[in-house]
Amino acid sequence: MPHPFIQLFKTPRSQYVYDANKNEILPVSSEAFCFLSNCTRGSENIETTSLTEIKELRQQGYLATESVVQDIRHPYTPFVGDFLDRKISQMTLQVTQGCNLRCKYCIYSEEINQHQRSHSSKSMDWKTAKQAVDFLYAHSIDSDHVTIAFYGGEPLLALPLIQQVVAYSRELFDGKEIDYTITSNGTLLTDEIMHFLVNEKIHLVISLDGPKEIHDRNRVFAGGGGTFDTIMKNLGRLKELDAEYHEKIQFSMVMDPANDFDCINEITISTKDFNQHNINAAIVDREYDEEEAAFSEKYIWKFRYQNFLAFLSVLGRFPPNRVSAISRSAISSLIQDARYIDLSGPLRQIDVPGGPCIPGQMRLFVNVDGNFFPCERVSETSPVMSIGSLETGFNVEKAIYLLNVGAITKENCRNCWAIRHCSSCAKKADIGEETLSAQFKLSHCESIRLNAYVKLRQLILLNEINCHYSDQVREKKRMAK
Amino acid sequence: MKIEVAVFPFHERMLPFIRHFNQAQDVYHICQAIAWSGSGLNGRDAAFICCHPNIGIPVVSPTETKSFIGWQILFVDCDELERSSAAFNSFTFFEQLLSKGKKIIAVAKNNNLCSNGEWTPLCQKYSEQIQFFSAADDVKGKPTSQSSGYSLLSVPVLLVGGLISQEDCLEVILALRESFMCQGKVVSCLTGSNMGLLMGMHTYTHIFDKKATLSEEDKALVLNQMAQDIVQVERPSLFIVEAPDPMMKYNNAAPNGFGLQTYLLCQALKPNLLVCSVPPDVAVAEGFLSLISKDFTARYGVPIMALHVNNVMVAAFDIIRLHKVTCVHTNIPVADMLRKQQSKNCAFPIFNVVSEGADGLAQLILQREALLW
Ligand code: SF4
Repeated sequence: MPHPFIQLFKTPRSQYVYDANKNEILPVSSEAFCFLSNCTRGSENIETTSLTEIKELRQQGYLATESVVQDIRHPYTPFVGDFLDRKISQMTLQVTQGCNLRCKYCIYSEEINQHQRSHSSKSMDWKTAKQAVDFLYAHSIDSDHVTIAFYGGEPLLALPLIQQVVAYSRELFDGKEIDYTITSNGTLLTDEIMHFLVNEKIHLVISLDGPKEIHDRNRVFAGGGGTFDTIMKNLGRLKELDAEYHEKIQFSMVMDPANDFDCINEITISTKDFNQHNINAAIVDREYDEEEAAFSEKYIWKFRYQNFLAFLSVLGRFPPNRVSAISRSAISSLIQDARYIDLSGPLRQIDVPGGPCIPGQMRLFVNVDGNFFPCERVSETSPVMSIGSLETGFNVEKAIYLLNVGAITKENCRNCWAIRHCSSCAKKADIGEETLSAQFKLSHCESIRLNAYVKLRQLILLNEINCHYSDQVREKKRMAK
Repeated sequence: MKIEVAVFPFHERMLPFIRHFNQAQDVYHICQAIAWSGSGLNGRDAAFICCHPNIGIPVVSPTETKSFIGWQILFVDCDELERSSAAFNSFTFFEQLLSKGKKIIAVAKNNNLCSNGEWTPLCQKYSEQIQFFSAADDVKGKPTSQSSGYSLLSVPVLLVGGLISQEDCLEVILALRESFMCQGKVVSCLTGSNMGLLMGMHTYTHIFDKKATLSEEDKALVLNQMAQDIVQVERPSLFIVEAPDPMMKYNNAAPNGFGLQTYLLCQALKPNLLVCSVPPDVAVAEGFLSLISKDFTARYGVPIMALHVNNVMVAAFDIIRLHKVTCVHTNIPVADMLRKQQSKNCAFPIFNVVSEGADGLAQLILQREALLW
């Protein structure tokens, strides 16, 4: 029996159907909802129903049983070469592979990495760095603004190189907006370095995982010992030197969901040198060691409770300063997404899952040897992820292959209700070989769909409680004409 | 023997100007484009800025000594100079070249440059070597006593506007102007380019200037009076005007100006014909441009007559990231290939003025114009 291409949602107040072809959410009666859930289980036939509501929706093009998507191909496929030739917007330089820390979950540690490089003392030399900056210069004609990011290892171990790159690129890019970002563990910030960062307006991202007892569990010096106190001391000094700069520091928080969420979160509420507004939290990445992150029960329910409080605070029903900044930041992104949910429009005959960006265009990663990768998060040892080098330029064919990662699971993707909200990219299909793995990619789909489901359900909730984004969820009466 | 000229600071909107300027008059010859070093264009042909076929004019950086060599006059776009955040000291550069006996011809939207800021000492010291042209001083553009309020122009008005960006609009206008002039026709042009003043064209940059104190209604009235005066003096058979902003809202994340300035301009000049510059991929959905044309008829009072297919692709990922429409240039053969694929489904005649010139489009305009009058 044909199934409608939909996903159903139920809230305490009402029930909805998400029409995947139309990329729209419609409220439906409980009778229609029951009928549609029977259809998805195969116990009713949508094509022979006598329910007026369903028949009307079908007449208006909703509730089709087939995906309109015939082929999976990214619309930018013919233009990948142009984007890589003319519109690179960010280049991330791996200035060193060395690090003064040995974080326990570090993707570069010898014990756990399966498909990633190991710690090494290799650093980028000036010749390679200069060549990289020149490459960015020649390949960003259509970008009004470019960013150079410094990455490691711990990039501050290569401070002289960073200083040389900043001085050279400032002059080279005169007349074009350029800014700099550095992702650091925050332990090596001397006064000299702080002055340099402040004077050159270099955006600083510091990795901090939570309060001392959590942070120090994983983030330890190579010689042993936690790093929390050193980071806090340095942040305090930076605040003394330039409070305005300190305000803008971004915190990258790697959360281990085996911990209690309240403990992780404590730092965002109780630590005075921690700016609540600039947190970028992510679950520890275990993809390259072939393990799944384990979620403790305490993490899950406390995280959900904080999200609930964050919703209340958005609605002005709970003081924001008593809610986890991590949850508030997540809810803010959700509201942002809610405003733009319909931008991508209905599905088209040739379409593509939502996840991938043009490999190398948004954040081209150049490693110490001058090899290119789509971004800093992918494996440097994986042949499929190598998209060229400073010597050979871009491998455009490879970039096109990675961009069209959806094509390797074409049938699954074209028939997947979450295609518009999919977050999968080539990294999720990388098993360290010459080609991408469909099987490995599909192993992530359940959690991607669950995320999409949770996101859409939260959007419905926001709509039900009558916030300003109400027009994002279509009113049935509007289409009844 | 023509006088050799360089332009500074070279930017995308200057390309059509330098492409057509050398043809349009017998006195000057642009031989060099000087761009900010950060543009990434140094050593390239100027047309590379739009990924167009080469035009034989090299780009150099003002920091290179060769930027001084081979020309006698520098055309300076003061508004672009003002917009730039470059650390390079342009006025030291000007001083150096003036001290070597070279001349500067500067264009700007406003007319108070000499009594203003860093130009003042240069103007005092080298008054003989600096000449200004400003939109506000454009005599034909000033409302005169003969102007009598708002009235429709007595000549057909062709609007050239871009759907998503102003890409190639100036190119279309300049190429059409050249084509009509070859046929002995007089055309008047009103655009958003101050450089056009050097080719006898007119500009509305001072009217749409963010600092201008005119009310929106007055802007429309001044534009109308300005156009009337131009028509009275030049007696053209066609009045071509450039849409000052992209013609429609892109989406909620990047409204792209909503076409507000174009609406205002259309209230002032009531265009009869519209050539719309579109990216090569927009006609993919059949009927899409017909719907747009209906919308333009309601909004601007003019349907699409013909399309110019440009070579820009919208960078969709920048829309949410930056809340603005940014583009990448693709090469002309790819744009042409897409154009050919799409012309079967398209309800409008499609041209590419960059690769095939404007004669075909000019011919079509004459036919439609004849029907109008
Ligand atoms: S969740 Fe899986 S099947 Fe669905 S669109 Fe994404 S990659 Fe394809």
